[in-house]
Amino acid sequence: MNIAEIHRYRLAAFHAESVDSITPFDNQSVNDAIAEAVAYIAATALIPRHERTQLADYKSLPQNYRSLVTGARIPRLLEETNNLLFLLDDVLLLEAGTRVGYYAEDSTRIVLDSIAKRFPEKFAQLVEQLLSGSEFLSLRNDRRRPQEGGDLISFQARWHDAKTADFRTCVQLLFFVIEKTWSERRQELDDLLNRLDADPLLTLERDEADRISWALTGATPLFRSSPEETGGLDGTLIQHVVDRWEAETESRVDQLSRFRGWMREYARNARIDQAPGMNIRLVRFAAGESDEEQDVEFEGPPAGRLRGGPRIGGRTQHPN
Amino acid sequence: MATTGATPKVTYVAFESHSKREPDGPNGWPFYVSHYDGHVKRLVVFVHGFRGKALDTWLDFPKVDTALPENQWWLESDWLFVGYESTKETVTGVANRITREMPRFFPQPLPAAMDISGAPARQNVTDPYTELVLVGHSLGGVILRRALCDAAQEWLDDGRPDENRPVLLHATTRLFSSACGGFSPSGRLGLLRSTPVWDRAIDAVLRQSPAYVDLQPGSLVLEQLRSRTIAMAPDKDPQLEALRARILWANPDGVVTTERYATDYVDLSQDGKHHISICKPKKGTYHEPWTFVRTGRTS
Repeated sequence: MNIAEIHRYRLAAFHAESVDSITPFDNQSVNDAIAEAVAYIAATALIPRHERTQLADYKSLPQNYRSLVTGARIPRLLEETNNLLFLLDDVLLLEAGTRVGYYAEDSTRIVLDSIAKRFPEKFAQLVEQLLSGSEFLSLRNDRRRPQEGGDLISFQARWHDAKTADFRTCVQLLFFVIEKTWSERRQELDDLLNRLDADPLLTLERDEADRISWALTGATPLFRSSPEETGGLDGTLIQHVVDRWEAETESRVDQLSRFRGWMREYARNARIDQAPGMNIRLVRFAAGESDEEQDVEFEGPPAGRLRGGPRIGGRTQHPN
Repeated sequence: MATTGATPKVTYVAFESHSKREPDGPNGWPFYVSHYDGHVKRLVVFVHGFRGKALDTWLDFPKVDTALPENQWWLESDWLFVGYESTKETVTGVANRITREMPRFFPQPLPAAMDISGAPARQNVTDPYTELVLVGHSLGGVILRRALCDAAQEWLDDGRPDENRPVLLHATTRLFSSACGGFSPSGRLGLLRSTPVWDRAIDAVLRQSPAYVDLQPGSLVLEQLRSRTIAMAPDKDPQLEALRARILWANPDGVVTTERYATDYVDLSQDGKHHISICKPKKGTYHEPWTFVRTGRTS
């Protein structure tokens, strides 16, 4: 195999995995609405902050798409919207791969032409803008993005691993579901906090745990890694989107971020303990008092609960 | 191999059979294809452990220095990474999936990966593999042993038909800090405390992950696995060689009990490595994982 043949194979693999695996709907207006919604979400990462209006306003999501998600249920709608959003990151990785020699130089152009034929014009335009805009240049030069072939393989691997079912659910909830659905799922997080307050030995039924894991492990790749936390996938477009939305008070990302902040505090102030028998439990103890088990108050994140409630240190009533 | 410089010697094809369409199929089993022009002789199958991910656990393996003559071995290999949700799934469930799916990957190379839209993976895409190497870390070792045990028992129950010898029984087995002896006394806590990712730990605790029960020392899963494996006496039957593992332990490990089965090969240990880092090679400083998978020994 010469390098041209290997490049050809790699491009075919990319196409099969990232482009062909997405199935546009038969209805063109549905495809257009999805493309518009994805364009809107991506734009939040690409348009400079001072040029944007209130992103926390969910109504900013294009009307056509909102009509789709509030109307009769369309099977695969959320999944395919997610897939189209993730395709943007795939294309960015492809572009990075051309720079390090993993893909042939003309690979990005070939894929863009293919996207233009296969997907709505609006989406193809978005991808073009994405690759030519000044914000993309800063994203491309992000030091956490792949700078050589080995990095690219690792980055691809982490990006692959990140896209779990919980991760996909998290992205859907943050960006594409209606407010009612979001409120219900956020309420479940609130309920968990209350239950943890009341029962330090709390364990969940399998279904309950599945319902909230989108906000725990599912959300991890969306947030930047902290020094003590290496599970994140830094440098993706979707992470840049989350960065921007996190700064908007009371946006969904902001609410999720505060929940995670509270849980992080919980983890820091809890001792993982082994109860008699088979159970492992989290036992709260006062920070700085090592292993001595105590039933004490501990503080939550500065912003309080998910929706501006009282400080958690009060340990009494949840605002919702 | 014609590639040079920074171009990686293996390429990445994420083989997905799409869980939405095939709920019980492999979900997230990436496949790394070798472009080597000679005979790609073997398939190396990696199975991660608790809290691991299909690729993340083995992230450093593709950085092997294929310029070294001994690492020709890696060029002559395709790599399959088994993914599963370690905090949600049971040992039995994942083992059964591996047993069921492996004939799609071995001995004939996966057709879908050998030719993609008319672009072949290498010059020879039809020659079957002649070797299968199973590599597990921690819980992944338990899963592999369970799959091997079931494959062996089924074959023995069927009267050992030569024409239907299970694919898995062609394997050689390499385990990094296998959890087959269960957690050490402080192991479960050690595992959670060692996690730098707080939300995985919280998630695992809140849901009382099935793996915690399965890996409790003396659990039914572990006891049956040990007794069944030893009863099939792989040290005395060459056709059951796959059940006889070579193991590389971290020293100190801190998470699992470092005891092999009586029928395993004499085990090895690596000083200064812990349970997580034991399977993470580093170019220039820690070659043992590459060597161990390749030879069953350390340098």
